[in-house]
Amino acid sequence: MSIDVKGLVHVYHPGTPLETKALDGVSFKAEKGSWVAVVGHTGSGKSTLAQHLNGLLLPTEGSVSVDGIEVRQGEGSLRKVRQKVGLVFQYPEQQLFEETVFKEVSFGPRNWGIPADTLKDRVEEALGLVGIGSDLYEANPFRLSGGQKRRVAIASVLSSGPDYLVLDEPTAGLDSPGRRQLLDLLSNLKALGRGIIHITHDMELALGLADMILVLDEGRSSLWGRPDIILGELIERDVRGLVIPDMVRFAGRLRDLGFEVPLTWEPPVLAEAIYRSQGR
Amino acid sequence: MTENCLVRFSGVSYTYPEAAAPAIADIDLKIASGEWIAVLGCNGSGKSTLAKHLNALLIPTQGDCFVNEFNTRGEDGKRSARRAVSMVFQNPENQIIAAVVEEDVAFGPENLGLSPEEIRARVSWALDVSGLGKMARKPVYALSGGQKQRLAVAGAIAQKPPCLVMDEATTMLDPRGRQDLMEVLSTLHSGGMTLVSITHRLEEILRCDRCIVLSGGRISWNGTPRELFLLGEELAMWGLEVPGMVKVWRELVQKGLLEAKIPPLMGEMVEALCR
Repeated sequence: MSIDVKGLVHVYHPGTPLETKALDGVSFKAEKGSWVAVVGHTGSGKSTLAQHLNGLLLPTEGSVSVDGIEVRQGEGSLRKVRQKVGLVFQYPEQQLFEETVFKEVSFGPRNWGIPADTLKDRVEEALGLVGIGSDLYEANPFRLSGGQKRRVAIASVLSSGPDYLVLDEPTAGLDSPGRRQLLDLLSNLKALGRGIIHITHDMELALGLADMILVLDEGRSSLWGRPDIILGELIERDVRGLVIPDMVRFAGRLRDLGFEVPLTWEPPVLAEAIYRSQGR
Repeated sequence: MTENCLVRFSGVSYTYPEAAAPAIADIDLKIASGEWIAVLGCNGSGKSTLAKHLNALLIPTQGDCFVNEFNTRGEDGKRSARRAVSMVFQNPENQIIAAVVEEDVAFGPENLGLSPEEIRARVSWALDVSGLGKMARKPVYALSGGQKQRLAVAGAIAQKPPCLVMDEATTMLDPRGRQDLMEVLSTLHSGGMTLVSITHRLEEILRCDRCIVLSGGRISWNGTPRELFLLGEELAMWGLEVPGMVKVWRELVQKGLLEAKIPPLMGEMVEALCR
């Protein structure tokens, strides 16, 4: 079970003076129960790619398929795909609109025609996953803290029961405790077998959490692979707009100077290696 | 000391109308002229409430706040505070008013009633410092998010305030935009401007002279960034995330491989380790 993207090309406004190629031959695979980070500079095509994963945009060339269902017009494909793939936009709390947390989270499944008796279970399950207790079910979502609002917004996507979750900068603007809670939630969803597709600028997060990283550069897949495997090349290539964590660049510089240290994003590992390397 | 003291808080508490508890309580704080100070803390710790006292957007419900030794309660004090302190907020979209870059920057100096030559000189200075010198005639909509935030800074400094407050001003920027903005702040600091950075990102305070940590509306800690980085559990308790580089630095200091006076910056650390 996976989302398969093959040779995806997307052209905005084809045949007009505004014609722009936003994606140019992107291929990757996001499996259920795994975490894929999509990184790249502003304008690299990350958000365009996200909108292909649940059929908000359709390929100009190439293909996207979800658990074997090709994303295209006709035969109910889009409906099936949208039930499988939940999309969480940037600052999703800006889309909250209901009077209570419970109503907000019921909106999606109700629209999918989920019967009233299972609806309640769905909503409670989704709110449980994001750590919002029953004491807040009747609260006005606009009165919650920033971190809570974001989690309610994510619950309102989860309540439709997607197998894959595509999130665009889900930690943007959260403080450290809010960020920690959200990342724990995503790790938990992954452990429960959901596929996580995490779109971000933050290389430190991507390196530390993702099973696979897709690097986009001007609409092309510039690199694709396991974090530890692509890291060396990532530093060498100096992909435009991607900020390699200071610590990793520091490790790289020390290696150039003859220190025997690994390229790592784990502080204790690096500190220990420097210690051993200095001891010699 | 009192001579170059730009801002002084004396037992300041502020309670929002109808709130049960004060947002900030018993704040005693002095900010010296030319100092770069960071105010840290997680959401809800009172950082922004404190910042809004600096230019008299809020007046203490208890205690007093002085800017240039004028109490912000009085009309003179309010005027002095608003002239002395400019603020830049999280979302640049909310602070840009004109359609063209240079016109936006000219708005503040025009309101000060300066001569056209002086206005032109200030606009070009502010745009140069902010790295937007080549974009003076550009329409605002053509700017990236990072450029818009630098435009907001240019607009704020064109009035040549002695003090600039950045209230979570990097939150909506990508990493490159954040680095560019930090460069602008460094330039302003070396030019003698007093800077107050309100943030919860520790990597942004490396170049500050001093930082204070707010927790539950009170000042829990006050010291230099390096002293702060050497703390352990407290940082997590205050809701502050420690950057990877600082964690490595801390371990190396604790293992005796680095002296604590070496800052947690790559160049300095590499040099010290190679010695």
